[in-house]
Amino acid sequence: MTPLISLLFALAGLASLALAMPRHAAQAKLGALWVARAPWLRGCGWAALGFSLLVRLARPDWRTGLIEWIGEAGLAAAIVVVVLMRRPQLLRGLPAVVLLMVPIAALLLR
Amino acid sequence: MKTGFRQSMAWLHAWGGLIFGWLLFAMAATGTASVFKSEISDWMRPEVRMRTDPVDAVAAAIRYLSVAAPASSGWYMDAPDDRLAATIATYDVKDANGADEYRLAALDPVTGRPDAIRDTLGGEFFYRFHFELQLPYPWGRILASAAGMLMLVVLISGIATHRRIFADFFTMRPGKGKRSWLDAHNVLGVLALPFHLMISFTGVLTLITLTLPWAITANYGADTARAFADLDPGYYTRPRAGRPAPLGDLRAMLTDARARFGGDAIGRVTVENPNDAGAVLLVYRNDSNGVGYDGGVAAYDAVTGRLLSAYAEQRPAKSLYNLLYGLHMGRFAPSFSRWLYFLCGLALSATIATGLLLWTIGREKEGGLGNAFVARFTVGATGGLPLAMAGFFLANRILPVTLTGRQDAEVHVFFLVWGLATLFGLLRRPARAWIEIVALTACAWLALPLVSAVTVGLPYDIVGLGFDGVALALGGAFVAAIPPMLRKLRTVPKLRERRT
Repeated sequence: MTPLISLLFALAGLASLALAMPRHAAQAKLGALWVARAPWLRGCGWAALGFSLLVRLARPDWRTGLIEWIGEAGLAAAIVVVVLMRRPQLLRGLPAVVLLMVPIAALLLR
Repeated sequence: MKTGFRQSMAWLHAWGGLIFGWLLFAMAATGTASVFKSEISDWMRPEVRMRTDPVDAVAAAIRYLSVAAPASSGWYMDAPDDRLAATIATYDVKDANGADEYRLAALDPVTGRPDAIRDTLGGEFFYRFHFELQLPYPWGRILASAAGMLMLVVLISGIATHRRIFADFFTMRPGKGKRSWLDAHNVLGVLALPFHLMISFTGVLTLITLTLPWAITANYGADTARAFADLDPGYYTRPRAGRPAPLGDLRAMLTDARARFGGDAIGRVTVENPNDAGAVLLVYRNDSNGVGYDGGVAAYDAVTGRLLSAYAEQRPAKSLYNLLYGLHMGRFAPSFSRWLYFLCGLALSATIATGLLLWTIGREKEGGLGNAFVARFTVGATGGLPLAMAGFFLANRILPVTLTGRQDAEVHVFFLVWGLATLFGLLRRPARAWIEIVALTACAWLALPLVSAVTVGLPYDIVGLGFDGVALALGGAFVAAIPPMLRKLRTVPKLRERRT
């Protein structure tokens, strides 16, 4: 449960961070409006990534959580790399879709 | 030497990586498999299906060992747990010439007997090979340590070499030859970098008393027995009394130990000097409860059942060591983190393999005997290893169950396949040899679920399904690697024609 939630936040965060980079914004064909807001995207990206770590650290088994989070963040980054490689345009919607999945996952797995 | 910091680091990264690259790949790949050591052991012993209480299983094992190896100097047992069904026993027996011979046997958790179970090392083989390299003690461990130390050097010089570590964080450009290999090397290396650094550092640390013995020498002189007693105070030992004495109520002692561990499972159990008045029963706590193993251990007089000592680690320095050791072993890991360990291990193996390929790709045009050797040797030494691992698993399913020395025969198959692949790679043109080895590897992994279903039946538990899933995924990955290689093979001669 917690692993899935923090993985989703890490994925949203890293996807936003990638979109804030000019090269990947071009790959994803990100609209000019969003390209101009790259610093804002970057801030949100770091916030989501930080929050995914916080989700793990706020629990009693935070030791295992911290170790898992490092692996999870790597896995999330690998997903972003694969999306950019295969279907770069999907990256545009990724942060929003992933964040929408958080409450759904929370409800389903409760 | 090259001028400039980054150039010297690049030089160090390339040459440092080359020296132990092949060895490091083998260590990384078999270490990755060791994440699922217990599951592999279970898969390789399809005869063991019953699960029992660990205390009952150990009691049954001791009943068997009392008959099978009464004169042994010690019985070392790993109690079954949630992941491992059989009791794994190691003990010494006198062979035909009167020399000591160590045996590893899986004992049925219910009957305590090994007869009905196929003779195999199971996941223990990959685990042992991963740091002992099948060489005699201590040379394998020293070589593995040296390789691990160089790995750290290569990682750090690699970070220094990588100019655009953040800018290229998500960058993977496929289908661009050397550029793509470099991207793959960088992405695989950088995304799991914390893991790579952690696993190399903690790996070197596990063998530190062997490689840096001087702290012990300075404080204890030649008295290493006292040094190790201080390192591991829970380990209780005493000499043989020389008077035979029957073992006491071991089940009561094991139950008492479990109570002392707060109801946690028992892990390793050893009986030293069995059937002697000086017999000692040591019970260790199972190591899957926390990241840092606390060294919880209880020692009993195995004849009278009297508690001799009980110990749990509290000293900060040793606890830190245990934490780092636990991080390397990953025994604490719930199944999700075990899969993350496995994926990160695959990433590390792939980083090393792509690094070796990059070394050869960068020097293809230079020619020369040395470069040709590296290019050809890499094919079999790295490409042949996943094939040898599949061969080891296939041997487990195909070799007759009653074959004597079956345990060793499986290991021989592993080294035979690896050796033949290396020879094959040396003899063929690398571009062709790569395709042939990868195709064969893909076939071997894809055939594994089928061969297993035919020889021992369809998988019906999570271990069987998981194993087949991983085999198919690996096989699929190797299949996916073939078309781009074929395309390259077709285009390379054309380029040459155009040039002439």
